[in-house]
Amino acid sequence: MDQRRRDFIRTTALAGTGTSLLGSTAIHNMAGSSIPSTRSASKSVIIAGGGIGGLCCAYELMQLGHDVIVLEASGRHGGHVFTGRDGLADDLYVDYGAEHFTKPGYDKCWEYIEQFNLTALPYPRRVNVARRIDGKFYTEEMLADPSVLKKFGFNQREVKYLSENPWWDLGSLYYQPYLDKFTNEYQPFNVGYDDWDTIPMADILEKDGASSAALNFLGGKNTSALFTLWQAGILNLRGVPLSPPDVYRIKGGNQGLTNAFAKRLGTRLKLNCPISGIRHGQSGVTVSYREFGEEKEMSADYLANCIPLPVFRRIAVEPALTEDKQFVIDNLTYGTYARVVFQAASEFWLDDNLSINMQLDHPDIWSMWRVAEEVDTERVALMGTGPAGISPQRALAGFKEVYPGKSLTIEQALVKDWPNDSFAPTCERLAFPMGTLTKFWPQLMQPQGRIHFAGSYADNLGWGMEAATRSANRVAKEIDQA
Amino acid sequence: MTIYGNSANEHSFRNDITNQTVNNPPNVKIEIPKEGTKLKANSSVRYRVVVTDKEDGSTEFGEILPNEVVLELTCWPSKKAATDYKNLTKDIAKEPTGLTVIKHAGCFNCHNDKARLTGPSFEDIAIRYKNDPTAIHTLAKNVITGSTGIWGDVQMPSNPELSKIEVIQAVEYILKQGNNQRSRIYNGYEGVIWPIKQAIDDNPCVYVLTTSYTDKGKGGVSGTELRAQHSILLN
Ligand SMILES: Cc1cc2nc3c(=O)[nH]c(=O)nc-3n(C[C@H](O)[C@H](O)[C@H](O)COP(=O)(O)OP(=O)(O)OC[C@H]3O[C@@H](n4cnc5c(N)ncnc54)[C@H](O)[C@@H]3O)c2cc1C
Ligand code: HEC
Repeated sequence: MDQRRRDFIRTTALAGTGTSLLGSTAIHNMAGSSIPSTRSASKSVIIAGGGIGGLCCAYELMQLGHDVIVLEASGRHGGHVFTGRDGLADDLYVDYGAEHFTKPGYDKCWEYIEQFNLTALPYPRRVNVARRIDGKFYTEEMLADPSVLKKFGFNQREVKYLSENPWWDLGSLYYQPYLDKFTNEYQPFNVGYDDWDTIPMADILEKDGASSAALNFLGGKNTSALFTLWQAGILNLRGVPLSPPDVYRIKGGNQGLTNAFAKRLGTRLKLNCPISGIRHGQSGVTVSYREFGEEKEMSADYLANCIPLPVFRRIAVEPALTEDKQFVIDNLTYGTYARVVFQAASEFWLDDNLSINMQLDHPDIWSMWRVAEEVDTERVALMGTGPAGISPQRALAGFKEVYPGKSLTIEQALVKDWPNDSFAPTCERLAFPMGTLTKFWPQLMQPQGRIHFAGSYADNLGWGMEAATRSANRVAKEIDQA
Repeated sequence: MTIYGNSANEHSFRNDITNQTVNNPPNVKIEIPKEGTKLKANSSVRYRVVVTDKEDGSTEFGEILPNEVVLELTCWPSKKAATDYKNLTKDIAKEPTGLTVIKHAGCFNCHNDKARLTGPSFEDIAIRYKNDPTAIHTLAKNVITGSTGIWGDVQMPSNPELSKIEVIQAVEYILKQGNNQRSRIYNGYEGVIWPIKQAIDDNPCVYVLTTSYTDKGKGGVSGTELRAQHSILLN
């Protein structure tokens, strides 16, 4: 209520200065002929990409009184926040992309959930996880049993730690002593580990006495120690465990959040408008895009790029960005995988006395858990993650191969293979290659003239919805104050 | 999205292929850039290719997948050399088999010729295995079984549906193309091309930009495919 009143006041105030939010005067649809507005009060901003980063950035700029247009290439908004119902029975639904968030750790997302009156449900996908290790399933109790831990080859200190702490927290045993030095989560440098960007984390672990079992578990042969510790330090500052067991999702699917942004943006969000070129200068930006196959141009004061960089690479930018920025754009890498979804006729695992939260350690299907349990039906929707390019049949065969019971009632299998998505082929940002942190950070976040950079890749933890909304707020502020 | 029990590719043939008695050749055209466009140092230039094929459909209507369209940018020391290359390659009926495998198996989703994506670039791979005569077989094995830990912590998925021969052809192509400093492969019918840096330093390039499309053949029968290409010169 309060919010709406504030909006109203703002809109009238703007109307008083002769700017309307809709049918903007500052954003011109004519080819190349416009002179962008230079008023300091209200700026016109084109937002490239209508994923959660772009939608949130546009929404925040709109709240600040600026004229925004989001250009989204595909026929739906939301990008990697994608709730699906097609192919599922009884109103079951799944999240093909972002599926959970934590508390603490997602402060911005929680603010929006409250603001938009969305319902967050506890999502017990990380409790009672059964983990398949070397072909055998282990419960959480088993993995806290010193005799089991010793057999894996953990040393005495590790065995003690894991018998008192959860399995996934082993990293903390080694990282924690280093984390106090990180006091500003956006500052990995000058805290005493600058030289460690060229040292693999595995070397530090070894120096600190990690067993080969722990080294195997924690990896880090190819990841810089500075990067690993900085990322752990950020979680530490936010009070977030390495793999928080209590996670949440939005009732009806996480797309509820992106839908809420989109609804408030109304016709400021244009779908099916892929951007192919950007010209930028001292006074503004002009983008070329296609709408219904027709080439168009649009000019504005600023551009907020909310397209992940490997996809942004396909857009011609003129004049060229600086070499330092181009390095980041050319070298940021992402992992890609597929979301596997099963629908079953019943809660079959209960008949087998098992937990459905499973880490499967199978090349074709890595994990499995349940979603949408509040839907009123006997049927269940299960979600998992698997390698890119996997077919539903192969993922199902993999699950059948390792599922340790005999009551399976799976009746449907679906896959969303992200790397095959024309406009959203990426998943999550990967660690920067060893020895390159100074090249990526903080360059990753820095604007280039009138082009600003938001989206989940453009924050300190390149993780999901929180990084996307955080960076979106940062860019909204940058442009507002520019 | 693939739905179990209905594995038909959403984007596949427009017509009922079993009734097809003729196969018409495809039409390909580089719409952007225009012939003679200059590639400035450190700047990208947009490209856009239009393909139409009576049986397969058109890029304009999304009936042809982006991965099916391939472009090659080559650098030549003179206009004459460039023109000769353009003429010489005009009537090539078949693309390298390895490239066909790569296009169809979705390798371009993770690999580019000279730029790093989720996986290493063709160039990275060619450099790493330059002096290793047994590389082809190890690489082929890794492509079939999938691999991780060689280049980083990311996993390359397995490709069990590909035959050993197909994978060897793909790997041979990757090693050869990755080594070719004067050539760059792009894929997708829209995107950007970059000047070839290496060459600019010694001697300004005259470029040939070539795009090609190989259609699905008569009724999808192997050996009946037709290929078309379009080349332009750039400075
Ligand atoms: C399988 C999977 C599981 C995940 N799990 C979680 C999770 O549990 N929790 C979590 O927080 N995060 C998770 N994530 C990550 C999260 O989904 C992403 O980090 C986040 O959604 C990215 O948002 P974004 O706006 O930065 O980018 P995107 O969602 O990629 O949005 C970019 C948008 O730009 C558009 N675009 C691309 N090219 C153009 C163009 N030329 N012109 C105009 N528009 C263009 C795209 O269509 C897209 O809509 C997961 C991701 C995946 C794939
Ligand atoms: C989902 C992403 C993805 C796809 C699709 C993919 N790759 Fe890879 N590829 C990778 C990654 C990641 C690596 C590095 C793996 C490693 O470090 O072991 C890699 C490595 C390679 C290597 C080097 C292997 C070595 O031993 O050094 C070759 C060759 C290769 N890929 C070829 C292919 C071919 C051919 C295809 C298509 C059939 C393909 N890739 C499809 C991600 C992919």
